Amino acid sequence: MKIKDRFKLALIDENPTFVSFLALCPTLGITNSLDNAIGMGISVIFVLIMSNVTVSMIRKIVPSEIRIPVYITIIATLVTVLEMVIETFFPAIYVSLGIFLPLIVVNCIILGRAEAYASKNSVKNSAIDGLVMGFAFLVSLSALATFRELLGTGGISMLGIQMFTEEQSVSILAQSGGAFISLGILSWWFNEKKQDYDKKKKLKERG
Amino acid sequence: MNKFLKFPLFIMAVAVICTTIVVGVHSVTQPILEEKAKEVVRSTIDTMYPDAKDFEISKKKLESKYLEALYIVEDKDGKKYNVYQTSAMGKVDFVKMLVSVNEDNVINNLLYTQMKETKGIGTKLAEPEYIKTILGQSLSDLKVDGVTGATYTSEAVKISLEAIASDLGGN
Repeated sequence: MKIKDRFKLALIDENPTFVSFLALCPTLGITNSLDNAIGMGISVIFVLIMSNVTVSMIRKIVPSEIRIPVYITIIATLVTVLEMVIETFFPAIYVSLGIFLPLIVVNCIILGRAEAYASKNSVKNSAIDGLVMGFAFLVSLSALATFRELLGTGGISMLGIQMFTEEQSVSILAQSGGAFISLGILSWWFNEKKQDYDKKKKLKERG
Repeated sequence: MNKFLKFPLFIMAVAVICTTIVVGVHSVTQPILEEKAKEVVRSTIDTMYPDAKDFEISKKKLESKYLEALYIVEDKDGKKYNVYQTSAMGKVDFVKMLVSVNEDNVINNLLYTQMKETKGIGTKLAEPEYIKTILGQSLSDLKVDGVTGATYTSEAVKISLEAIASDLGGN
């Protein structure tokens, strides 16, 4: 499969946030601002690529009965390393991500891709899969965060944009309850569009 | 090999490798983090010992809630001082002090890092005349005089210095 098709597959058909609804805990928790979402997305991309590569490398020597504990150990190691690196070099991100950084260990996307893809495919393909899936997660998080921050505070602090004043904004969207509302609205819109896309795809396949 | 032996051994091997990696990264990042924490403290230490040769943040556990931190400062002559950061509630806000104690448990220096007490009453404790009465005292027979009218502030200063005395006495 071409890389372009794989991006399409990950972003639309198997979108981790809006279609599979995986990893909702960080999705709801840290999308109150765009820079948090990007920090989280990049962290997940790193862990996903590394864990996919490692799991794929050892897929032939891990006994299948104990594969899950082994995967969890590997993921936990990667997250701990990532946490220490972020704490040292990016203290601002470390403070704003807070508890959600160590919680990447139990992120369903990572364990899901290790189990569903990396344990059956070659190292190179698994690395690409990690990149593509992580990218899809990053894009979904950024979309949700942009929606919430823009409507909730009237601007995006990371880009220095202020569209309207804070009094005119819907401040509930920037709070935790707004996370559910925004996720609902965005996934409704996404799946509405996806239906059209699926119909077109089917027609194309039939010729 | 027996299944019941093979599986635990495999997981143990994975865990050992993972632990080694974590320890390796930790040994790289920890000194940088400590250096950064020191950098934050350095400006505070500079107000008291501008020509200090070196200092370290003590890892000793401080029992008293009035003691926030303990730094061990080495001045240019090689003399070592225990410098305590204290914090106790006064009348208006927390009264915060840096108190340096030399190796013979004698109070060597005292600086207020936060003093927001009532002007003319509580601030009498920050005047050089008052500080002179505390400097040079040995912690073993500490006498902290109160200032008339500034009961709360005097109490905050007294309680902080007593906390230091009991902390060093516990050594």
